[in-house]
Parts: sequence; C-alpha cells; structure tokens
Amino acid sequence: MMFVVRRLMLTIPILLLVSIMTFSLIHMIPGDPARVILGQEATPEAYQALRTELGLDKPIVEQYFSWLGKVVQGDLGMSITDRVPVSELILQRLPATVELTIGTFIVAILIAFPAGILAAVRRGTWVDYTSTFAALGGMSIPSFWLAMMMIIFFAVENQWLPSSGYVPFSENPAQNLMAMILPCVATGLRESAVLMRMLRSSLLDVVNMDFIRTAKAKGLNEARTILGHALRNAMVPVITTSGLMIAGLLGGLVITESIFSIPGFGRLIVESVFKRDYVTVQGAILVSAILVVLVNLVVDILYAVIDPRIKSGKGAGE
Amino acid sequence: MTTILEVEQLRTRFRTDNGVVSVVDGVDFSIRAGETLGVVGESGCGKSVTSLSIMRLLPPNGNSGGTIRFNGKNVLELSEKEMQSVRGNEIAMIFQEPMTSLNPLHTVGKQIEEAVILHTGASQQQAKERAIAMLKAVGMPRAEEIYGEFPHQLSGGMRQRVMIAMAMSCDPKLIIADEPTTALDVTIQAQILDLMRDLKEKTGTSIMLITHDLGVVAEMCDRVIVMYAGQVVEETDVETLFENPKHPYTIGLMNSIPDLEDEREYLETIPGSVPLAHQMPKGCRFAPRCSKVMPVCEEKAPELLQLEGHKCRCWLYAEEGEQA
Repeated sequence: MMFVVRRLMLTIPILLLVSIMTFSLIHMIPGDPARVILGQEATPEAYQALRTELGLDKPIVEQYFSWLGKVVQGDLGMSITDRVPVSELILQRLPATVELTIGTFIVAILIAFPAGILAAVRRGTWVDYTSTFAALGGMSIPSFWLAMMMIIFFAVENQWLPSSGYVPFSENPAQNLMAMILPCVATGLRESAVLMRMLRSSLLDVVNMDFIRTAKAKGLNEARTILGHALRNAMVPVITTSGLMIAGLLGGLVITESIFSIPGFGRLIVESVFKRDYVTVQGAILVSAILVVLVNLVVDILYAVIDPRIKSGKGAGE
Repeated sequence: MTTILEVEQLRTRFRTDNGVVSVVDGVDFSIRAGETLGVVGESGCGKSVTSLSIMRLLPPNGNSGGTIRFNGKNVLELSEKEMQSVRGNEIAMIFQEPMTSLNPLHTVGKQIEEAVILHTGASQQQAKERAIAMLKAVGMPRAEEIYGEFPHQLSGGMRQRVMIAMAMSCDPKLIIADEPTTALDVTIQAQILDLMRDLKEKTGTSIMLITHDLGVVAEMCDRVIVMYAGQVVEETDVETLFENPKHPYTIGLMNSIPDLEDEREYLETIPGSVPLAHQMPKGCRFAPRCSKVMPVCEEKAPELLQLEGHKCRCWLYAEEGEQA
C-alpha cells in the first residue's frame, strides 16, 4: 500500500509539468495567438474579444494559474471553431478510442500469449519459425493496408462484418461490438506481433534460469513449469511493452479511426489541428498526457503486484 | 546393504557447434541404501552432467546412453511422465546456487508445498503442515512466518535450508546434492553439512554429494569416486582415499589442500587444466598434466583397474591390478 501511495505522490509533479507544457502551447504559436487564430481580416473588436476570452491581456503567470484552476474543475475552455466546451468534445470522442484500445489490446494478448509461449517452449522447431515469420509479417504490414484488405474481404465481398457504422455502446451494444471487430483485429494483429516477440525472448531468458531447473527437479511437467514458474517471471518486460502500446494507441489510432469512420479521440486531435482550434488541441493534448501518466502508474503498480522484490525496493536482479 | 542406484557405462553427449562431444564417457558407480557417495573433481570434469543425466534434466542438446538403474528400473528408459513421478519424489536434488535456485516470485511455503501436493496428493492444508514441519526440521527459526516469506527476504544459508526442506519433503530415497555448500560462507557451510548429516541419519536416505572440496568429502562421505575429464579415475572408501590415494590426479588434489602444520610457502597445484571435451588426448586423459607420465600413457588409454580396496585408472598399477 505504501508503494502505491509513494507512486501516486510521484505523479503530482509530472502532471504539473505536463500542464505547464500544454499551457505554453498556445503561447508558442509565432505571433499573437488571437491574430493567428482569427486571421488577418478580423475586426479589432473580434480580436480584442478573443484576447480577453483567452486571457491574453493578463500577465502570463496569472494566465497559467487561472487556466489551471479551471482545468482542475474540468473546464478546458471553449472550442474556437465549434463554440462548445472542449471537455464535452473530448468526452464525446474518448469512449470510442478507449473501446478500440481495449479491443486491440485483447486481440493482441489473445494472439501473443499462446504464440509467444509456444515459440519459446518449442524453440528452434517449425512452431517457432512459423510464429516468428508471422510476427515479422505482422510487424511489416502497415495496419491501414491490412484494414483495407479486411474491409474488402469481410465487409465488401462477404458482408460478414460491417466496415463502419459506429454507434456508442450505450445506444446499441450489439451493433457497437460488431462494428468494433474489424478495427480491433486490424490493429490488434500488428500489436500482437510486438508483444509476442517480447514474450518469447523474455521467456527464453527465464527458462534458462536455475529456479526453472529446480521446478523440473521437483517433478513438475513442462506446462506447469512454464505456466506456474516461468511465465510470471517473464511478465515485467511484457507489461512495460503493453503499457507503451496502450499509451500509444490512446492518442494514435487516427488511421484506424479514419478508415472505419469511428469518431475517436485521435481524429479529434488531427481535425482540431487542421482547423487551428488551438484550445481544443491544448485540451486534447492535456488529456492524452494524463492518460499516459495514468497508464504508467498502472504499469508500475502491476510490477509490484507481480514481483514482491519491487515493493521492498530490491531490484529484480537481486 | 541393497544397492539403490547403479550407473553402468553412462555416456552423455552434447551436440555443439564443434560437433558431438562426450562430456561423460563410460562412467560406472553405484550407491547403496543409506550411503553417502562423494563425487570429486575439478570444474568441467562431468560431475554435474552426471547428476543431471540421472535426473534426466539435461539441456535439449544433451543425450545419455548406458544404464542408470534406480530401484531396479532403468531411468533412461522411463517415459517423461514416469520420470516426473521419480523427480522430487524418489530422487530429489539440491543445487549449488541457493540465491537463484528458488523462484523469486513465489513464497517459500508455496515452493515446498508444490512437490508435496504433486507427489503425495495431499490437500492444501496437509501440504502446508508438511511444509512448516520441514522448515522446522531444517532448523529454521519462526517457521510459520518464513512459510509466507519470499526468497529475497532470506539469507543464502536460509535459502539453502529451504532447498533442503524442499528436497526432503517427499522422503526421497536418494538426494543428489550438487555442490550444496560452495556458494556459502564457511561457517554456514559447516551448519548445512551438519544438517544434511543429521537428516540423513534420521531418514536413512542416500546422498550423492558432488563437490570439489575434499574437506567436505572427509566430513560427509562413506565412499568416493574421483572424476577426471568425464571418466572415473579412482573409486574407494573415504579412509583409503585420504590414507593411500593411488591415482596421480587424486594425489595432486590431496597435495593442493593447505595444511597448517606444513611449512610450505606455496600451495601445490596441478599444472594445466581439464582438456576440452572435443580435444581429448589419445591416451590417458590426465597424461598431459601428470607428473608420473610414461610413454605408454600418451599412446593408450588405461582401463579402470581393480586394486585392493581401490579402483584406479592408471598405467602405474597395470602390474598389480586386473580389469575392473
């Protein structure tokens, strides 16, 4: 428990730093932000109004703290182009991306675990070579190409699964899940390759360790040795990779979201950038940074759950 | 006394990048019930490979031939499943490195229980009682607490006690201890050896004790085999070994023990090192390092000869001995 509290305390300075950096974003635009946002033809009244709305007429430190005060209460400002609160926009878009991320991760795990374990246990056999070959293929095939091929096969030629038609889960769970299958598999296949390679090499390190020999010397069969003793010891690098993967997916599913017409978070960021909606960009980046920090927090807590040595401050190499 | 383990013409080979190499080459020995057999030799002479061959725990590129008769059945002919019911149950093993031989993520108790549940079909509760009883038997203070602790919370000596508790938990007929004290402090070494001797006397189990430490041999063993380059070069009981060693290699090992009463300034060493398995000399394998080497030694490999109270693989005794 102490470990979790200590780790939670550590996120506070990180979040503050993130907030300063996102806040500065609007001030890093060359020239006057209000001018850049409105363009050259804007009337002086509109220009002044925007400056006041953005708080640009106040000293910068004061601007930061009043912005931070609002952010803490969930107020990320008004979207410049859509004139709706940014927090509302994000809340509309985030669930689809979170769902897509979870689905992708589940697909990745379902493939990576059996394949990675088999490849490590049957090292140097056709099982190993086949899964290694498939993983290299999975890593080299661009996911947008795979996504389009899957649409052609599953949606156009055979009409087994929809290629678009996302509805929120709360509206129609069945339709929502159907629409999620293809995008999750298309990105999950690629991510599974990364996880599978990581699990395989991590397991290969572990199976040569002395305590695995001890487990076998006790009379355990191969399955119990691998699943009961080796797998958990091989998990730390796999969890690290999974954390990075999830953090990357939460903000980086733009291509998948575009191909399958899912109104997701990644697309919101890209759209806002093109619309020069800096307030929305700022809010979205802040939220995505917080998500990354949270994912890392979960990863660190998982380390401690898996390895009792981490809680007590002793390294895993001890 | 009944013979519990009989190893005949054990040959263990490994496929390597240098081709197939024989690491253990025609080893014969036996262990009687209740006996402690010492297996002595330098690093790389095939002691550990011999023990792993008996347990059938060689790495995938290794392969054993010959016979290993344990309790009347040839271990090398058992199916993997039958072998699993032997390992940890009838033959248990204690390894050299107590720091790395325990799973760092499981509690001590769970690791001891595992074998008990597997082999005796005990319930979780019975296995827990057994594990705590074993921890007490190996002299652990506060056994109930240690049951729930992780290996990193224990010292090296305590971990080795846990390994011994684990090995003894199913009342094995034979314990193979591969350098059980090498990684420990001298004072802890003595404690662990005392413990093993006590437990042996209580349970009557046989021990195959692999070591390079002749002090450990003197303290623990009834009989000794000396191995060199994958072969047995001398076999005798422990008193004879120390009073009247025959093989020049054994004599060399004896001379390299420091002696307080002796006024030598330097310790004697055996020059050179054990030949690599793929570069074995044509004749006697010890000839390149032997102080008493004769022309015949480099030409022809000696057989293991039966001398009085001894078996010895050396041309020096060709006259008095006959083939064993």
